[in-house]
Amino acid sequence: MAQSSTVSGRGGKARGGPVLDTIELPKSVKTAERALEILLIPTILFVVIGAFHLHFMLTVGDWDFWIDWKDREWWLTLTPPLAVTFLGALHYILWENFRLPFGATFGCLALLIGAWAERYWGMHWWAHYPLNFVTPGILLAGALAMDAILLITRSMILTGVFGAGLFALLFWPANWAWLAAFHVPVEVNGNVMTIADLIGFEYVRTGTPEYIRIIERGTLRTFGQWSAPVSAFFAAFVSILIYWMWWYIGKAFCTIRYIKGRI
Amino acid sequence: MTITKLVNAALAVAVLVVGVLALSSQPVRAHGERAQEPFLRMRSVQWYDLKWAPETVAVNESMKVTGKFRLSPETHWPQTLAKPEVAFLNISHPGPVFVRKASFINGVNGANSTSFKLGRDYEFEITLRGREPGTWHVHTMINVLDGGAIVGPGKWVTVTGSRADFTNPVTTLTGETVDLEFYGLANNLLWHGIWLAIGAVWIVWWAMKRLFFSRHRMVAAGRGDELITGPDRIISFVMLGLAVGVTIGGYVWANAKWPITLPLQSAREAIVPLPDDTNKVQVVLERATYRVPGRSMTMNLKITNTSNTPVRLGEFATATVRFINPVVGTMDDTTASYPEDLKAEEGLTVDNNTPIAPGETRVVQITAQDAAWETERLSSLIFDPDSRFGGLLFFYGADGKRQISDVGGVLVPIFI
Repeated sequence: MAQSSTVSGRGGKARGGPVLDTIELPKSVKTAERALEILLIPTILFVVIGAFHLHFMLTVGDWDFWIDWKDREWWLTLTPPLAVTFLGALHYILWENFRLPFGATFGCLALLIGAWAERYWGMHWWAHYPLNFVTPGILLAGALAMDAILLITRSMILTGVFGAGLFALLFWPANWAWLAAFHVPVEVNGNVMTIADLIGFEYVRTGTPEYIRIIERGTLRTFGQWSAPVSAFFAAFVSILIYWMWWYIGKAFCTIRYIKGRI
Repeated sequence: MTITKLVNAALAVAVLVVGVLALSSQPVRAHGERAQEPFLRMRSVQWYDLKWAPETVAVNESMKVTGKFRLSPETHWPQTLAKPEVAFLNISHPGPVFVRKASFINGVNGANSTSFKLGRDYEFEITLRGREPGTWHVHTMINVLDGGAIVGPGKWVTVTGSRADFTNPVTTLTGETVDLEFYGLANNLLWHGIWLAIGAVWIVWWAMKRLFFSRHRMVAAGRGDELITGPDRIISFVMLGLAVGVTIGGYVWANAKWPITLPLQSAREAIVPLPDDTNKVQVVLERATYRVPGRSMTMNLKITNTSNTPVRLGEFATATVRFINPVVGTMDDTTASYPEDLKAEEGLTVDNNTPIAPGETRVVQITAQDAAWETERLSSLIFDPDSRFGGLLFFYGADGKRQISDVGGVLVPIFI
């Protein structure tokens, strides 16, 4: 991990402590390192799944759980900024220490594994909700763009502006490919609803009365009749700021500091 | 004994205790509403004329839960409970073991939230269709914004058959008939699969290189930029292009396939309550006591009959429990099918059962006695922070008609 008192990691010279040269290492060492890497991957994966998924459930929560909460305003405004948190931290950790640019995709894949496990085994198999009611949203489109921009620009500032911005802007159109089908209108007992609304009404959730749904509320949120672009641009702006903030949170979490010993 | 042995011993004991508790515990499938404070249940929503029919349905067959409810008047509504200015008539069962096909309140579609007036009555009908085989406790329920759920009475309903036979067809306004159970799932999984595949390619590209140790050595030596090769840059541009291109392509494709879509719908429904029929028999509570050892509640009531027919008191109902005066109370089909554990068929005693004539004012003493006070945890009202009760009194006229009056006030416990 990056050590605060040693190398800068961006072409600067080592200022103290051991510097491991890039001489050709014995094959046995390389094999052992590779084996350890392979062992580390599932460990890191499960740690990220646990932490990120827990964070996501506690923040985005219902907006991602249910098909009838995925609106053009709140789901779209909240999900990208709240998801870009861990992605920014992973970007720092993997890029600054290893020049690995796949932090966002890795994080979103981990989140998707955790989310699908919970939706399938928890909400579908255990609680009997149909799977189309509880599928998670897709974040990978923006995550891939963010990773690519990090590698291309090699700049945290530009990745924040363009990468995190694109992460939010791609969220709604990437999900619309599967979500559109659920916004087809139906008439039920004299009410006009979307299929998503109807699924939410029919498959009963005793703890989720209709008024609890925080969707499509407030004014000054549309441009003409368009609500999604307004929410997407606002989400993009907030995502940029949160990306930068969590980049430094990622730095704090992988910076080693030493306490002066007493011996 | 060392610390390690002590910790191990403590862990072993903990595992043993948990195991014994788990093996000896009873399965919990119903009656969680008893955990709600009695004063909330007694002074908020009073349910009556409830019916669950039929009580056994096959998968795909329908049943209805019908009845009425009255919101307690302002004088009885608990101050700690938010008023039902935004509320929702709900149904409670363990997950979607039924699907709710329709909900009507006073003939108005109850799919949206609404506002209920205190002191007024509403008639409801909820249609459910069997989905998951089993025997399920089905409750009525009202959710109140900032207040929470007020659970009504529950009855066991059995669903027979096989879950695999369940279908849930609906016809859209675009003329397509779809099964809500599986609708859109294949396309959903397809798009998740597409993005998972692209993401996997990106991850595998990097995983096939050395990941951590050698790369960290290079970064630590200040040569991190050498780790990014030309092919890495090319693949990153490809990924960026795919991310944007597949997104745009998917969006355009979806708009072409489903050209008519609406945003999620949300609205507030306005529902007019049933005609106000509450003032024909006026009741003033003079004193109410609860005798703890005898599990009985006694009320001294001053009753004034302002209707044009003699009336007799047939029933006292509170918090879904019905105390019936056997001398007067009718045992119609609805009452006969009411859950047994919530019905005290001889639970109400009136000191004077002679009819109260029109215009007459009479002071009567009534006693509601039954084990339900304890089994439904209503007796713990005396330990609530607000020891006031509420309920409905059902008077029956000589013309066969029924008058329903509110009653409520301070409940004084008697411990000896």
